[in-house]
Amino acid sequence: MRNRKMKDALFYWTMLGSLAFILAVFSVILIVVFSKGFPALRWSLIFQLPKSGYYLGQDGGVANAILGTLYLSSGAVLVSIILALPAAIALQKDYTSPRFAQFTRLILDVLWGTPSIVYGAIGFAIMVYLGIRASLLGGIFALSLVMLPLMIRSMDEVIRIVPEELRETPLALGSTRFEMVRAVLLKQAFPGILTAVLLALGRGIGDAASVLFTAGFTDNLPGSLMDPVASLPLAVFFQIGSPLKEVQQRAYASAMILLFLILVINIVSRILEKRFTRHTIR
Amino acid sequence: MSVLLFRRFKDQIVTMSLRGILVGVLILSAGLLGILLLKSAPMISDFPLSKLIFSAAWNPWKGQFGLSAFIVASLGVAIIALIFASPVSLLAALYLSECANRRLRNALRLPIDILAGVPSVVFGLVGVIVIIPSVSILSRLCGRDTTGYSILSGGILLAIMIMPYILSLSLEVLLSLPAEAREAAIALGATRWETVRHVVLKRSVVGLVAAVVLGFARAFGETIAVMMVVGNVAKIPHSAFDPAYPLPALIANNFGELMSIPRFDSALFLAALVLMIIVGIFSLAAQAVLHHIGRI
Amino acid sequence: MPHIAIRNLNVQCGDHQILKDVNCDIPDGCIVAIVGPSGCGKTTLLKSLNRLLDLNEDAKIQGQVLLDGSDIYGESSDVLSLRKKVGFMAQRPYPLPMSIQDNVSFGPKIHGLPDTSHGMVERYLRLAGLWEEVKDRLDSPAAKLSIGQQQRLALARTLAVEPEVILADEPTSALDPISVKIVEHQFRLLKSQYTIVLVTHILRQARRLADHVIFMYSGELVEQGPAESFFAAPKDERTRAYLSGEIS
Repeated sequence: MRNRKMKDALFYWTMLGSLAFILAVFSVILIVVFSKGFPALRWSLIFQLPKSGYYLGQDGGVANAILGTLYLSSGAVLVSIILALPAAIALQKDYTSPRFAQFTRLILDVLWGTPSIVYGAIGFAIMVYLGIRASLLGGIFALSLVMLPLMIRSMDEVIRIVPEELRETPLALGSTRFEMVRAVLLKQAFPGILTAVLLALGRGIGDAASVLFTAGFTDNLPGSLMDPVASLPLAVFFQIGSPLKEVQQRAYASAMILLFLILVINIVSRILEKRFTRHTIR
Repeated sequence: MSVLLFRRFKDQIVTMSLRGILVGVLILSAGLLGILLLKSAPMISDFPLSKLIFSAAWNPWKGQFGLSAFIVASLGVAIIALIFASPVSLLAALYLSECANRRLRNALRLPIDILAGVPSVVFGLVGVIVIIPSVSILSRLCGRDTTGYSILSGGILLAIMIMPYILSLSLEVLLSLPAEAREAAIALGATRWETVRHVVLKRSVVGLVAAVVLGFARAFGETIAVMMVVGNVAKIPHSAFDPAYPLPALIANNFGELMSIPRFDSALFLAALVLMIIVGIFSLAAQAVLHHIGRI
Repeated sequence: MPHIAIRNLNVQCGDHQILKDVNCDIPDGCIVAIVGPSGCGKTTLLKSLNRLLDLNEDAKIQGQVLLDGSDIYGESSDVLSLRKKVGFMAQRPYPLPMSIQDNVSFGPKIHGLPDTSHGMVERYLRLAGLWEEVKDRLDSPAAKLSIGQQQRLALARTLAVEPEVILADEPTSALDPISVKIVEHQFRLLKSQYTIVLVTHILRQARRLADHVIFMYSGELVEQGPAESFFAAPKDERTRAYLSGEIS
């Protein structure tokens, strides 16, 4: 009996220890980035473009990369929504046979797991074929490929859980399928759809591999879709590669900005999820 | 009547467009694979596949394009990551599913989600400043003097990156187990450990394996962070302290110069294809299992 | 008021035969109760009357349901106008995820009815006996109503598309006793203008409300008739057993 209890206690503490370890790792990451980056964080870093010699320790900031990342990921989010929302609705049993839907879901889940560097390479191949150089357009295209499966599947999941009886309500009144979708599915799943969009946005902001050779990098802001554009993850990556201490420190400060963006998106998505449940039927 | 006709017409149009877009997305996905095949075709037709996959001779300047060093490196970092990450993540998931109440679970959702969403490059930074020096010290303790840029560092970093991912996947699997299954064992006087061992693990082992395999697939394809700590030397590593050159890093580092050497671009697309196929096979198997469990 | 006649109706779901050769004429302008033990096919029979059964992709339907002589499963039948003519109330009220007012006006709007005004909303909320309770908060979410109020809202919503027949699937089973009383009262008021078909597993409710009773048992229509004679002098052995509580 004592033996059994001891085993149980040992098991309990290893489980708890593991969880504590993961949370500790999480804190270490935050502490390292913040303690290294905070001394180098200036308003100029956020609001200024890199001046000449920035990468040699001269003045300036990474506003090009911050804005570039926002351009890239919001562009890709827009493109993805236009395709993902209809596709997610088409996956519902109201539109598709369950077997085909199940097959498609599996394919999309596999695509979701495909490394973004692969999407970057494919995007690049298509750009070369079309004669497009590394640009905002190319970056948005590659990033959309990364986002699309993730967005379709997370929208699909939140629409799928709308109860059967709720779908029947408007149909019993003589509505068409589309009228039912608008009155019930989209309204009921709206908070979840928002979360799915923000999830994709967060993934887009942090993704470096897909924009590495499709978006290029520049110290300026893009003037058009055909101009190259900088991105925050790549700015971090290039600055840490510098041998100069000041520049390396700015890499950490830039990473802080990046983390801050991700944090804000996560928190905003949680707030919105609660805010928009006014009409939701439970 | 005209209202009715119009409504029907609108519904038909919408139905057709929705289905059309879904099918379009599927065709696009197939097209992506097609492009990879097309671009790596010159390589596959000019060299025997065995030479491409199993040869470690990578000398693009001499026309040698063996990918095995890169494949081994990718497998190496991913396996090391799995060895470190899976016990910790599974145990933490077990704590959350078996011991924690719903409030704690909900409270931890935010940090775990944020941790899973931390950009790869940030992990890379932390790896450079924390993991590299630690591994360097460790190597000295083991009697080898290295910089720390090694397959071990890559593995440890990847382990940290996939922990939250395996944790949330396996937590989902564990929570889908009905409470009655546990109650039966507990009612017989089993301790928590005995319940987990004889009931929980037995019934969810397939799903947990799938979660771990998905973690492996994720680690296999991770690019930027690994590239920052793994050393990027195109040789088959012989010990954990040796530097290595995983497939994603190969693609990321060399894409810029691919026009200058003949066939180089095709070789890189072949690397991307190999990457996609390996990751695809693992995640297809794991997802199929998870979908199957979800449907019961 | 249209006349509903069911001819040789068979419904199969996978290997399971849910309805076996059902034949009957639904009397017009009164409350018809379908009673029987759970799983006997009551709800399926009800849902077959406005083709809600079509939503179940496993269900195979054979036979005819004649609405004023034309088969609703026939080629020329239009399911949207059928469902407008034959309204349906579910067991649990599921309000649409919108305001109280929009719930009522949803149907008239999609069908392009001429009157979608505030007055129309009021008229149907009064008809469902809900107006006094909600008149000050028509814009608040329907989800905020109590379940009894939600069911009356569902009634108002069904009435607002101007149906001629109302199908109700155990409409009071999820409600508290007071709400049950209100809903039953509304049904009695409505029966002069509508044909009401009500599924219930509560015999006392059938006694209270029904003018005509249909008894189903394991997919078969066993017996039907005017309420008084049905309860006073059941003909079939199974009906007698059911009424005496031996089977339920």
